[in-house]
Amino acid sequence: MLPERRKAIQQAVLALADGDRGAMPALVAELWPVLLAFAKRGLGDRPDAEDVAQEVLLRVCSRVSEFDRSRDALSWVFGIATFEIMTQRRRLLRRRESFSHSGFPEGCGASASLEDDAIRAELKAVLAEALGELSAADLSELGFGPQTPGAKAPAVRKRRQRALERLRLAWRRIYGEP
Amino acid sequence: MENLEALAKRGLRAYELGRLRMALRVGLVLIPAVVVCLLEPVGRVCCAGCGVLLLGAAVWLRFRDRVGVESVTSGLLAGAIPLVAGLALVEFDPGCAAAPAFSCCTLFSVLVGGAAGAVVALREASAKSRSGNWLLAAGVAALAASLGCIRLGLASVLAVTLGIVVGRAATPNPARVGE
Repeated sequence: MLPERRKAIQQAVLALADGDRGAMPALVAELWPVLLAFAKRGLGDRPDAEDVAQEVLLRVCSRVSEFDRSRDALSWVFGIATFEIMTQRRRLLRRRESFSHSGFPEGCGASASLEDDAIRAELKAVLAEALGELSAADLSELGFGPQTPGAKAPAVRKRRQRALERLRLAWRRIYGEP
Repeated sequence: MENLEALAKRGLRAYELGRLRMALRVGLVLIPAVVVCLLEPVGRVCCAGCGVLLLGAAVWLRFRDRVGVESVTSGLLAGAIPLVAGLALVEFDPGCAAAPAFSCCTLFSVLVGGAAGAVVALREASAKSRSGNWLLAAGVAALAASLGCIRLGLASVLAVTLGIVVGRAATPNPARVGE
C-alpha cells in the first residue's frame, strides 16, 4: 500500500475521532478499496466479500470515536476487518456443516471458498505423491485398489496396519517430520 | 456495488450512533451520583434540576468532539471533590444549610472548590488531556459540585465556583507558563 494512502487514512481516522464529521467522505474514499481487497483476499473473492467489507466499514465508523490516538489507524481497522472475516468464515463453515447434515451432495453450495478448494486440491496432490511410493498390494489394503477376497479379518487388519506404517514412512521421507 | 457517496452517508449515520453511545456512557457515573443526591430528604427538586443539567451538558459535550470528552472527564474528576464534600457536610453538620453567606461553611466551600480547580489545572497540564478546554471543564466541575452543595445554599454554590476559578489560576501549570 502507498504510504500516502496510509497517511490519509490515519489523518481521517484521527479527525473523526476528534469529532470532525467532514472527514467521513475522505475516510470512505481511502479505506473502501483497501477493505474490499482485504475482504476479497480473506474470503477467496466470493460475492459476499463486498458485504463483509461494507460491514467492516460501518463498524469502523461506529467505533472510531473511541479510537486511541497513539495507535496506528490501519492496524486498528485491519483488526476489526480480520474479526469480521473470521466471523463470516465461521458462518460459512457452519452453513456447510448444516448442509452436509441435511444430506446435500458434496459440491452443491457446500464448498466454503476457493481457498478451501485449493487447500483440498493441494492435499490430494501431496497424498498422491506419498501413495505413489507404495506397492499395489499396500494400495489395495488402504482401499485404493481391489481387496483380496476371502482373507481373515485379523490378517487384513495386520496388513492394513503395515501398509499405513509404510505410507507414514513414505510421507516422512518426502515431507519430513510433521 | 454501492456508490461511495451513499456509503459515506451510511458511515456518517453509524458514526453518529456510535458517538451517541459513547457519550451516553457517562450516565453510568452520573446517574448513581444523582440518585444518591435524590435520596436526601431536602432539596430534591434543585438536585434533580442540577442532575438533569449536568447529564445533558456532559452527554452533549462528549457527543460533540474530543475536546468535550476531555473536558467532561476533567470536570467530573474535579467536581467529585466538592460533590462528596458537600454531601458529607450536609450529613454531618446540618447547620450549614441555614448558615449565613459569610461563614465557615462558605469558606469550606471555597477551599474544596479550590481543590477542584487545582485538579482541572493539573489535568490541563498532563499531556493526555491537554486537548480539553479548561472553561468547559470548570463548568462541568461547578455543575457536579452543585449537586453536592445545592442544599447548602446559593452562597455555597457560588463559593465553590469561585474556588474552582481561583484554584485553577493559582495552581502552577507548566503548560500555561509557555503560553
